[in-house]
Amino acid sequence: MIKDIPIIAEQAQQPRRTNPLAHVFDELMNFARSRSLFMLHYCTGCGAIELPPAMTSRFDMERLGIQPMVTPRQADILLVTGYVSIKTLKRIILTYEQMGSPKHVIGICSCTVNGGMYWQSYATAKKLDEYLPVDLYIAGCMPRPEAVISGLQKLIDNIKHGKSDNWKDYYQRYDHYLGNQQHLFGNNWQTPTDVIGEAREYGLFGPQTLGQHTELLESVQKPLQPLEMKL
Amino acid sequence: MTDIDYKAKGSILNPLKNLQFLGRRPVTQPLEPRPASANYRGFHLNDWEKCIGCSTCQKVCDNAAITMVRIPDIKEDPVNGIRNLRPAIDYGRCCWCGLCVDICPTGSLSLSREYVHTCTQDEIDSYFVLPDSSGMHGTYGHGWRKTADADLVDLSRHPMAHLEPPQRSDNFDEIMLGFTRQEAILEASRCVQCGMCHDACPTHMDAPEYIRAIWQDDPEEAVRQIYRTNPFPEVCGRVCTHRCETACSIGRRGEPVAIRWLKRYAMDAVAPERVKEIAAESKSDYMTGKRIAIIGAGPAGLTAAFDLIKQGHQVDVYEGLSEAGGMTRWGIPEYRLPAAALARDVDVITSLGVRIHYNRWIGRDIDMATLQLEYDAVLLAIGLGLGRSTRIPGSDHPQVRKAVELLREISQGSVFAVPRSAVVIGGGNVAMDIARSLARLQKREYGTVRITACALEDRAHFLADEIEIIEAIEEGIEVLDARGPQRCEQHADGRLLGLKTWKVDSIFDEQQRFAPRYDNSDERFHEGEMIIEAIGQMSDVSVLGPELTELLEWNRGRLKVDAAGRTNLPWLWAAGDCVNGPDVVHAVADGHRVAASIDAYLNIREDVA
Amino acid sequence: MSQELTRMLDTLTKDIAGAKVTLKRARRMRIDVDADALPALLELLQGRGSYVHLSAISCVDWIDDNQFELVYHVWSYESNSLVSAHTRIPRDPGVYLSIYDLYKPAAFFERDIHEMFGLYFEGSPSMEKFILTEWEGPPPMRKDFDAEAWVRDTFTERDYNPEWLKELTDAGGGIAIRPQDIRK
Repeated sequence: MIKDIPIIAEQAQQPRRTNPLAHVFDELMNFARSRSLFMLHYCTGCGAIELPPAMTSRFDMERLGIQPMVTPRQADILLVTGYVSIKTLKRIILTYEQMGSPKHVIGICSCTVNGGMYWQSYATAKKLDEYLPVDLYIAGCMPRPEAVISGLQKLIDNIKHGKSDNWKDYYQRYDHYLGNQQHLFGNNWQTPTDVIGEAREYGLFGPQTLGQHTELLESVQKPLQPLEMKL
Repeated sequence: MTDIDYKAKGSILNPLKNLQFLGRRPVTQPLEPRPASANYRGFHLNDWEKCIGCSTCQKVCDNAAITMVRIPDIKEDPVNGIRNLRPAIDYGRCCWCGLCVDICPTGSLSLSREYVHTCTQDEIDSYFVLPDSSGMHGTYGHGWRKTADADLVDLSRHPMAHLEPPQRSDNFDEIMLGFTRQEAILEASRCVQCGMCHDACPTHMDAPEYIRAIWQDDPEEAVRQIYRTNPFPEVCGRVCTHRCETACSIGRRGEPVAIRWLKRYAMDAVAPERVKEIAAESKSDYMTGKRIAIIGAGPAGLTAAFDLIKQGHQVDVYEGLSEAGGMTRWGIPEYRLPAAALARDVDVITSLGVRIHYNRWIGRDIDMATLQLEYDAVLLAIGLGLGRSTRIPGSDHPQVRKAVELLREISQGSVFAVPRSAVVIGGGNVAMDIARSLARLQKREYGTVRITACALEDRAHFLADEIEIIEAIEEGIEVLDARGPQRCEQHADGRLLGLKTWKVDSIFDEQQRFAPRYDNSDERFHEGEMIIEAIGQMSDVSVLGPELTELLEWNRGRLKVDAAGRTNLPWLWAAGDCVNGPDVVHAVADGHRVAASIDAYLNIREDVA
Repeated sequence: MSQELTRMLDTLTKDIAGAKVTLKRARRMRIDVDADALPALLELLQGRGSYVHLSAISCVDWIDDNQFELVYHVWSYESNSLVSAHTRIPRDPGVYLSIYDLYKPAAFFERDIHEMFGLYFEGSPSMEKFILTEWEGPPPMRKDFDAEAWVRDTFTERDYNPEWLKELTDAGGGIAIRPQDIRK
């Protein structure tokens, strides 16, 4: 069973801000971010079929300043387009952890919410938000390109108003997400990214960043080896 | 298509052709979502006025996206097939296939042309929606609706072979001939398994289960399901008042599933000996040693006997007449319920060990005090054996007869002078039964039918089943509505001449009490050598004897019983028509109820001892 | 044409005990054969009948008969016809011979069947994990694996609690029949 960890409202400690213009900067940053979003070109399920029309000239998401990006490290948006098999979920988590903050996850289709039509399948994860923090959901099976565009507009709006910051939750409650991942992938699950270290670095280390699951991770963690070059 | 000459260099100005696109309208759509096509399958709409909460949408949904939610403000009405449930849709499961719309028996569900819904993690509850007629966000209006092409519900009933008027009007052969295997499976396939019939049935028969078994071509399983709740399937498969079909959700837009005929098919398809084995399956394998006497071998009495013998009690049934069945044997003509069918039901019950003592009148051959002494409990199920009289002037004439008594004489095969013309007072099923029985006798004796049936009610409010009235008219009976009987006219020599009636203006007064008002300017005379009163029945309570009558509590001429059917005396119960009226399936339900009460009482006594 | 094909197959399978040829449609034949005669049949089909292309191997779990059915679909480019060779083997221990030496693509299908049904093919080059690399449970396509129960034990359903539901629950109504309540 997936452990239900209560969400505690207490926020991680933020450094005190003394600059009187901080809010002005924030607003400017948010505006700039919202107008230039790179969407990771990575597709999981059937919903991906609605993205080509949404990207290309008919619905043209570049009007909103969004364009596809081929590497996770330069992407802002991770679009999960439909069902996520357990195997794919591992790759999604690896990808997500490599994306630079701030990053936004959009769950498209029924499947990312409660399993969709694969609700009784042994091979798919049912609720995306148990493994990753999700910023926005777009309903449909699959949603039409118009709905995708509407969703992206809403995301832009949220970013502009500084509301789309669920990515912080991944650091603040890493133990919760890691626990769910371990439940599905087994106790030896580890990723190359040092999430706990990043949490400290970003000042997002919270009371639930560490817990029994991170303890387990540390006990089984193997140090990363450089990849062998093969030709 | 011409081949491109790859050596041709073309002009340096060729790229300027692209300038033509400057003047063209772009293909890019505006950012605002467009309205979807007219039959788009968007979010759900549900017309709550039409929805009956049958949950068929939930059953058809393969994505398990539909949850039935109880709405306390809506009134449950099982008799008319209404539940206070409404579907709620989980859009984290739904795939907008539209099966729920296509199967919806009422046509209340439809899909809208609305397709945009986005939300943040905090608003994720908005994915669980209780749709009403305004839809998810109230934009764009109706999209996919039920159409005749897409409707998964088969609205028309499979016809059953039956005798036409010329073949049936001079004999008592059964009119309905029953389904064939093929017809039964086709009819059963119309059922959506909503269970409205189960809720509406007085004895809560497992109709969805036995219809499903018939559809799976397993009539033995169907019989097993039927015998769980009803030991009179042959009778109920023919003459039940079928509350189930009134409540049937398919009946909202079309003809209800022929649940009654399917029950009959199951009984027709299984050999009587096998039915006995199936009925005995749940019988207790030990005897408790308790003894129960039941007075009256009608449906209520025998149902109680069936239940009690299965619990391991010894049951003796005392029947005043020569055959079991009560009103179903004597009051229902052979063309609706052949005696042989009833005999098969009774046979199953006696095969379990119920002993029926025929021709034993309580009060004449055996008295209540003896029964009280000899048995642990006594059940009165004496039915309504006496006819009521209109008490209009002249109704004491010997040729003015009561319907139940005349029907009994016809069923017993008694010889009496068939009148050349007759008038029936009443518009219920008993009136139609006697009119149609007499019509058959007249046709046989004289070749012509001269019978008039006068009902108080107007045509729209007739108490008899529609099919009974149609068939009666087909058989040559004159059915008149809104005629109030005033006087039975007789000749000076004492011969009965006929009935004088006035037109009825209204039957009930403002307080809904029975107080008919007549228009005496519209007077008519109906000729008849015999007048038959079919206006209701009453119980022959004289069997109880004066002492017991004194001890018991009464309520307007009927025995007063509690909800479980127990009288104010601890050893005496009453069930069936004599306390709860007046059809077979209510009697069966009553039999079960009272048997449960008797069984509980006997078990408590055992605990004390 | 089809009759010629059937006749040809009849002659071809003459020596194989218990082989039964049926014509399903034009250019579509079914041969039922005993498990121990199947490799010989395929060898004949490939060598003498020009059925050189193995399109697929499929497996059916007949749990009530306690058997697996293996269906080998082979195609001939000469007669443009498809032969499905059906054979049944006992579900337990679920071991059969590989036909890798006859048809190389069989390695792919046999590995897939091994993963999905747990059937073991002796002589197949690899019986390693294939697509379900992350799967530790029983072979999921076997009929005795209850996927819905597995999902129930592994995942939780989303527990929605919207405002309208709270109001209805307070008023004495609320959720009456969940979708899982009606599933048998």
